[in-house]
Amino acid sequence: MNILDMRTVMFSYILSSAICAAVMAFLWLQNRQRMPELAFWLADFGMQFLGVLLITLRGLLPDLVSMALGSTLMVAGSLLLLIGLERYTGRTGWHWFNILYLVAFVIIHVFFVAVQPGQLGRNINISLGIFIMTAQCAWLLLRRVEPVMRPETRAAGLVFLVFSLLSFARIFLDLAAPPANDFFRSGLYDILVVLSYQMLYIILAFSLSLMINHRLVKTLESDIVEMNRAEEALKVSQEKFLVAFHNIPDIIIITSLVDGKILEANESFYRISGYDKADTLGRTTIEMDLWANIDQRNQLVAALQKQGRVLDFETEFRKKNNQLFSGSISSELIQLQDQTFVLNVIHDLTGSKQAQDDLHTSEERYRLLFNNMTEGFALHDLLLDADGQPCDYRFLEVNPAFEDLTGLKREDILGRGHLEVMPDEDPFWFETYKKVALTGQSIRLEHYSPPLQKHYGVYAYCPIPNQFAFIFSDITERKQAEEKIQLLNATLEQRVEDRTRDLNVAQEQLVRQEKLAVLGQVAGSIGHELRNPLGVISNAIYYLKMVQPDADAKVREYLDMIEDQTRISSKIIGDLLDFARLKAANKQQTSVPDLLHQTLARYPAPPSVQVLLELPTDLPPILVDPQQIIQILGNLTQNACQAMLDGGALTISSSVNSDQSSVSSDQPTVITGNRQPTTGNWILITVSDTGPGIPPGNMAKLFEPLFSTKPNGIGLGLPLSRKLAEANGGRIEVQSELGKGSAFSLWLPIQAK
Amino acid sequence: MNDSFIILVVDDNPSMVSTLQDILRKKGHTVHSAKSGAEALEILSLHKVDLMLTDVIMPDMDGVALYRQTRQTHPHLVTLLMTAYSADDIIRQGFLEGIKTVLTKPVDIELFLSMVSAYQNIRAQRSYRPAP
Repeated sequence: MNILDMRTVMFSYILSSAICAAVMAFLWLQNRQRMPELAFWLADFGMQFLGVLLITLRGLLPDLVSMALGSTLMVAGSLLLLIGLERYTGRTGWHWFNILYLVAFVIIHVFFVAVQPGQLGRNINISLGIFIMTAQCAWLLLRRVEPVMRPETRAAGLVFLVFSLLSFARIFLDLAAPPANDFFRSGLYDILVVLSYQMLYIILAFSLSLMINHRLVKTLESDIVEMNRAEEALKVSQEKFLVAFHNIPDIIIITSLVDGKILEANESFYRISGYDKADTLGRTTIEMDLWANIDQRNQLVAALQKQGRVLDFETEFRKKNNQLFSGSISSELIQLQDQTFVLNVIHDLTGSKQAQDDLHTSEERYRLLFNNMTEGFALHDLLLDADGQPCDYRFLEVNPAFEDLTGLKREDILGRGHLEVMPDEDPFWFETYKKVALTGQSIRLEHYSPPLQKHYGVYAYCPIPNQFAFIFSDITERKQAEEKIQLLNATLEQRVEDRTRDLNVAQEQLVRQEKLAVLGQVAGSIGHELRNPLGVISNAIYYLKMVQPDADAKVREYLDMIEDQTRISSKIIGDLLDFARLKAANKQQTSVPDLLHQTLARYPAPPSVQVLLELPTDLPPILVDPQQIIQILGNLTQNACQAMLDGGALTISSSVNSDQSSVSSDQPTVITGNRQPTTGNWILITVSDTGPGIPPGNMAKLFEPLFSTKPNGIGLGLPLSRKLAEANGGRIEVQSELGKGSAFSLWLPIQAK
Repeated sequence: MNDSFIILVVDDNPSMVSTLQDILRKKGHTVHSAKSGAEALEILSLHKVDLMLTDVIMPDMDGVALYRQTRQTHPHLVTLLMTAYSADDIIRQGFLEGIKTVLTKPVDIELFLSMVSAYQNIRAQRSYRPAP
């Protein structure tokens, strides 16, 4: 009566679920690495198959096994699928309520199988179970998943939705038309429901595999994108490495450990060695004769084999042109494609060695300069006080010239403060240097250092902030010279003035002497001319006195007066003529006492003057012009007598004197004539009077021509006497004391030539 | 005793000549006078002269030249020079040629008179001696 037999439907259901389980098993096998959650899916499909099989075998198996276990397997399998789907979509959750429900489901089902068997209860129970599970699956795939994943899950979600709707509908259908107690004798709609289940199940299997397929395609696409990106990155990285490999200044050579052949070399190798690729690749370093010393190469290889790596091994290498260069080689064993290679990095030391040498030479040169420069050099830094204000500076370095110029020892001052070394230094220095160190402006100056007692010319500059250095030299001598010049300049005017005055005086004197000379000549000629009239007057007086012996007293007195004045005139003329034209000394051996006696005879002293002669008996003769000496002595005695008009004592003494001067220094003294003789003996003749003495103001003028204090003298006596003394190699000294008298000393050489 | 002594005074200054002439005459001597060398030589050729007192510097000839000219004609003539000048060269030449005395003007009359009397004595002694 039924078109469709439930057993046939179930049989096909078994087959289709087996096929679906097999499909799921294949899916699981293929993708279990990538999607381990497929195990849950496979478990569900397996359980569904078993469930369908058990239900179909109803009658052959006990009911409890066939119906209770079969249904339970189907509902529990659905739960496993839900868990698997949650894992697949990344939306896992707790399932305690599902497990509780499952327990309730089993109890209900067992109740309707064993206690009160009823097809309706079983149908409703299982439909409800399938509804609950598939509805959750539909909800998961359609709503709970990420929106981006929904296109992938939508199809399967819809299948679950239909499943759940069908199960829900079956509950009401079964209630409307309760089925018979035998499942196999179910009504048509029930068979149709089972058939629908069967179809939906197949569609579910498809949709699930399509979902996996969708995911796989997506994964593949993103994998390809990822791969491309990785490939690109690799390429860039490789290029970077290649550029670095070739452009690194150091040489890099990769050789095979097995045969020593060069696998790769960088541009630096070709550049430095002069080889090209064709010369290099596939050859060994020994073939290319790269090693200047093969023993060192063997040493390196031994060390490499022992330790796996060698660092900074210095040796020499040979270029293609046989030129050697020194390098530091670092080698390391590396694994490439399961082969062992040696990575060699050679650092060319030529440049750095040269640079080092240059640096050394340069340093040596500057050290030499530093040590041998004549200018002092010193480097300092500023010392700060608690407030951060500069309070002193400290010696950091000085050169030998510094020590020479300052007298400070390097080891005594390095690291010490300036104020500590020289507490009494002029603050000017510190202030100046502080400015230099703080502003960085260099300065040139000259200043005095009181503790070192020297002037320094200094150039100070600031090499780095808060430090300063100076170069200096000792300019003390120049400064002193400058000061002296300034002093000289200051006194020069005074000196010029003084000198001008002296010159004026000298010129006056010269003019005076010039005038005097002219006057002397004129006076000489006039004197000569006057002698004739004087002679006539003199004759006339003589005649008158002779013929008028009895003339009255007044006449005789006047005649005497005329006679006297005529004689004085004649004497003046005589002196004038003698002075104007001095005769050469006619020297002869002369006795001093004779000279004195003749003098006194020719120039007798007036009776009011007492004459004392003090003559030793053993006076030696002297070589002089006696007439000239008598003239001197006569002059001196006449002067003495004229100084004693009221009477006094005239003392004439003579002695041999080896001393240059008998003059005591506490009395005003004038020395005139030859002063130079210091050897030989002298005859000293002194003419002393007890007159009033000579005023000190007149002493210096005594021997000047035309200076006279006498009423009828013209001031030629003493100048003439001096001239005469000089003509005879002698001189005249004067000592005088006011109120006591004067002493004129005539010095004459005994051994005069 | 022959006190009279014949003296020739030569000077270009007339006052000098006249004053000396007056003094010497007053002293009792015979005195001739000349105002130049030439005049003196003329007097010498006309008169006997014992002693000549002559000035050194004169316009026509100096005293030494005059003395020199009298040497041949009057070898015994005593000649004294008197000078107002320091004519050293002429006087030195005079000394070399036999002049004994030079007097400086103003002439010391007393000194001159004593010399005259000295020469007078010498001549007296010479004339007193009997001729050989």
